[in-house]
Amino acid sequence: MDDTARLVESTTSTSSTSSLLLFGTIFIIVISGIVWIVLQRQSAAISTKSLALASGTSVAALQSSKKRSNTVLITGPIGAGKTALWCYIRFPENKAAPKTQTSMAVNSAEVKVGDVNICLVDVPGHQKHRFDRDAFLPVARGVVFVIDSVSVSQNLTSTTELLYDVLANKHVQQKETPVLILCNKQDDPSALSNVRIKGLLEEEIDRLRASRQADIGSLRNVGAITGAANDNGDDDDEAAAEKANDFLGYDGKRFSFEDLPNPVQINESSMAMNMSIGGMEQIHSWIADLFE
Amino acid sequence: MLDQFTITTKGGVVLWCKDYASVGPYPVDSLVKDVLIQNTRTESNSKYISGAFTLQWSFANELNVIFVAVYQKILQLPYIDDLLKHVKKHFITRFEQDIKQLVDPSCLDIPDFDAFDEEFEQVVRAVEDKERRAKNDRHGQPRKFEETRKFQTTAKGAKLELEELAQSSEMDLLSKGRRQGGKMRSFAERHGSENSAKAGKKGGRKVKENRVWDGQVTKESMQALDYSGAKSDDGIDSGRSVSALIDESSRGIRTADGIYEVADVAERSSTAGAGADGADGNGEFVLLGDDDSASDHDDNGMSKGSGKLSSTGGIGSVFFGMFKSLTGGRVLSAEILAEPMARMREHLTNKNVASDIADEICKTVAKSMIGVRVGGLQNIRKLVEQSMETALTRILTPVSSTDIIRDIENAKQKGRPYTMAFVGVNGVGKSTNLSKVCYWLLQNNKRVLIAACDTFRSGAVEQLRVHVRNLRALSENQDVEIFERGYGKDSAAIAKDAIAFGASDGFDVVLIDTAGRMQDNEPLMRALAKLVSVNSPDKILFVGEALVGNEAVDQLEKFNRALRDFSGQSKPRHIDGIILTKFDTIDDRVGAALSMTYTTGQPIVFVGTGQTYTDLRKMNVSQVIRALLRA
Repeated sequence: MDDTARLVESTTSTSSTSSLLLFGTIFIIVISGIVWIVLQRQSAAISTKSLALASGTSVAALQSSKKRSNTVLITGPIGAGKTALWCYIRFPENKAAPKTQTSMAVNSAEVKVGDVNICLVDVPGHQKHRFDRDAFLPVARGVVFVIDSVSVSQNLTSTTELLYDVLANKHVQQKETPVLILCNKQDDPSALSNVRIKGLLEEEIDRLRASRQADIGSLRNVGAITGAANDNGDDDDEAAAEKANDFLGYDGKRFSFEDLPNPVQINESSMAMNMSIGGMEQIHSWIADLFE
Repeated sequence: MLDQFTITTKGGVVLWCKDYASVGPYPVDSLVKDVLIQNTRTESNSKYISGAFTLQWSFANELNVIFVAVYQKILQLPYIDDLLKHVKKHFITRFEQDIKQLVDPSCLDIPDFDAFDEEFEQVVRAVEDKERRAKNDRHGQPRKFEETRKFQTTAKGAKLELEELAQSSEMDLLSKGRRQGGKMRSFAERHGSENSAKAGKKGGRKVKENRVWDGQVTKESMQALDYSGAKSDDGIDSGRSVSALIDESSRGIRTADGIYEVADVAERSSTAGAGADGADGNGEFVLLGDDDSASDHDDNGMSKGSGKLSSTGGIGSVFFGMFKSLTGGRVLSAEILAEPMARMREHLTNKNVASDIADEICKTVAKSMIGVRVGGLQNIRKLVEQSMETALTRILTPVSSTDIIRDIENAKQKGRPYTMAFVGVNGVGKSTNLSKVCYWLLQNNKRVLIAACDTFRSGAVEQLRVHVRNLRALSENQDVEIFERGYGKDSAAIAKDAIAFGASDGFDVVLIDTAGRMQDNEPLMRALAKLVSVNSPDKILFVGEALVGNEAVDQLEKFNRALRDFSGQSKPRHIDGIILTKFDTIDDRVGAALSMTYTTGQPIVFVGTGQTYTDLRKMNVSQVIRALLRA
C-alpha cells in the first residue's frame, strides 16, 4: 500500500526528487517480484523434496515424475525382487545384496546409468497398487518386468495377468515400449530357466487373451443398448478406447512374444547372488539401448 | 522377549534390522500386505497377529520410514508402544541426514545404519528397566482401577483434552505476553510469575527479530525457545530441543545453504556427544524426551514439537506467520488436519458412504499424513484430497482377479461346472442380475443352468422361467435351462441336485438363485449357510443395491458372519464378490460402492445399470472416485 501511495505521489509531482522516488518505487517493486519468485521456487523445491520423501502418501509424487520421459519402470508380481533390482541400479556402490521387504510405496530416483540420466521407478507389486503402475506406463521409456522363477508355475495366472496388463496397455502398444522380462532368483535350484518360463507365459497369454475378449465390455457390441440414463457413457467409451488393442498377437495363431510390435527380451538374473547370474551389464546395456 | 525389530522405508528397503530369533517367513511382509496396504480391519488398530507372532508398528511419515516390532503372540509386552516411540526418536535424531540421503541422486550407496545396534540395545534396556521399575512399584498391592486398560480408554480422551486445554491456555499466555510485550516494555515487571516472565522475555526478543526478514528469524526464535528449555533439565524440554533441532536441520537443507548444513551437522554431533556423555557419567542411558505427558499425546513427538513451535510463531505476529507460511516448512499435525478431515468426512457421508466407514477412512488417511512437511504454497485441503484419492483408489482396486471366464475355463478343465450363488436381501435384484450375467455368459458360448432355489416367494420360479424363455429367444445357441423343484423345498438340496445335473449334462456354469433374506432373520441365514456349505459354490456374489447407505455395512457383515458362524466347517466361506445394482438411479452418490468394498475387501464384479439384459457393466474405479470427490 505504501508503494502505491508513493507511486501516486511520484506521478503527480514533476521535480527531480520525485523521479528519484519513482526509481526507488520501481526498484522496490522489482525486488519484491524477485523475492516472490524466489519464494515460490523455494516452496516448490520443498514440496518436491518432501513429496519425494513421502511419495507413498500422495498422488502428487506421480505428477512430479509424470513429465519425465526418461522413466524406466520396474514392475512385476509381489515378492519377485523389484525393490532389490531398484537398489542395485540406484546404489551402484552398494556391495552387499540389499535387504528388502514388501513395498507399500513407490520408489523413484534420478539415476545415471552409463551416460544417460534416467528416472528409475519401482512400483509395489501388490494388486492394490496397480494404479501406480498404470500412472507410470504412459511415460515409461522401458519396462522391466521381474518374475520369481521359483514360484512362477504356481502363480502363473496372476503373473501372466500382470504381464498382459502391461503388454496390452494402450500407451505401451502405441509407443512400442521395450519390455525386459527378468527371470529372477536363478540361484535357487528349483528355478525354471528363461526358455521354459517364456513357453509358460506364451501358453498362458494364449488362454488369457481369449477370456479378455469375452470381458463384460464386449456386451456393448452385442444387442441393442437402450440408452439407460447413466452419466458414465463417456467413461465407457474411454474404457473401450483403452481396450481397443486389447488382443495380443495374431488371431488364429498361437501367441508368441515375437508377434508383438514392441521388443521383448527374456533374461535371467539373481538378485540374491549379487547379480552374478545374468549380471548387471545386461541391464545396463538394455537401459542404454533405450536411449539410443 | 523381542524377536525382531525392523526399520524400513515405505518403499521396502530395510534400513536396519535386528533378529533375536528366526521368525520364519517374514511376518513383516504379511503386515504390510494385509494391514498397511489392504486396510484389513484389525481388532485393535496398532496390533496385528501373524502366525505365532504379534506385530506392532509406528510410522515416521516425514521420512517415510516404518518401525516394526515382532514378538511371540503368547507374550504380553506392554512396553512395546513405549519402545517404538523411543527407538523412533533415537533413530531419527541420529540418522535423519542419512535417511534423507536416500533421495539424493549423488548418493551412490545405501547409508550404513549398523551403528545403531548399540544404541538400540541401550534403548531396549532402558525401556525394559522402566517397565520393571513400574512393575515393582505396583507389586504386592492389587491393581487399581486407574491402572487398568479400561480406565485408560475411558479417561484417555478426557486427559488429552485437559492437557490440550492447559497447553492452549499456556499458549494464550505466551501470545498475550508477546503482544503486550510489543506495546509496552514494562510487561515483565508487572507480572511476577515465572511463566509469564519467560513469555515476556520471548515476546520481547521476538519483536526485535521481526524486523530481520530472512530465515534466521525462525532459527533465532527457536533458539529462544530452546534457551528457556535448556535451563531446566526435565524431559519435556529435552524433547522440545530435539524437535527444534530437527526442524532446524531440515530448514538448513531446504535453503540449500552450505553453511547451514555444516552448522547443523556440528550441532547434531554435539548433542549426540552430550547424550553419550550423559550415558557415561550416570552409567545409565538417557532416553530422549522421556516423559509421560509426551507419551500420552500424539505418538509422533517430532511433528508435535514442530507443530507447537510453528503455532506459537503464528500467533506471535500475523506478519511473521504469513512469512512463515510462505516460506513453507509446515509440518502437518493432527490439529492442522482436523478441520479439512472433518470436512472430507462430511463430504463422503453426503455421497452416501456409511458414516463409520467414512470415519475410519479419514482416520487412516490423516494418520498417513501426519508429520509430512508441506510447501507453503500448497493448499492443505488439496493435499488431503489427493491423499484421499490415493487411498480410495487403493480401497476400490480389486485384489483378486475378476476374470470369471478364465475361472470357468479352469473349472471346465477339471470336468465340473462352475457355480455361482447370488445372495442378498429382498428386492435388490438378484434374479434380474442373474439373468443379465446369464445373457453375458451365453454371448460367450457357455452352457448355463439356472437353479431356482428361491422356494419361498411365490412367482420366483415363474420369473426365472420367463427369463430363460427370453434368453433362449435372444441368443442363437439356446444353451440355457432352468432347474426347478417347485416351492417349499429345501433350497440346499435343490442346488445340490442342480449341480449334479449340470455336471452330468455337460453345463459350463450353474447359477444359483437364492431367496432374498433380511440379515437379521436367523433361520433364513442358517439356511443360506447350509446351502453354501453343502454346495460350496465357486463364487458367492452378494447382490446389493447402490441406494443403500449405512445399512450396507450391517448387511455385509451379517451375511459374512452367518456364512462363518453357521457353516460348521473349519474353513468357512465368505462373500467373494459384489454386484452393485440400481447404479443408474443414484446420480453421483456412489458411496455404497466404497462402503461395500471397504467392509468386505472384495471386488465389485458387476454393476447393474438398468432393466435390459445388456445393462451390466464393470465398475470403472476412476469414474467412481471422481464422482465421490466431486463437490
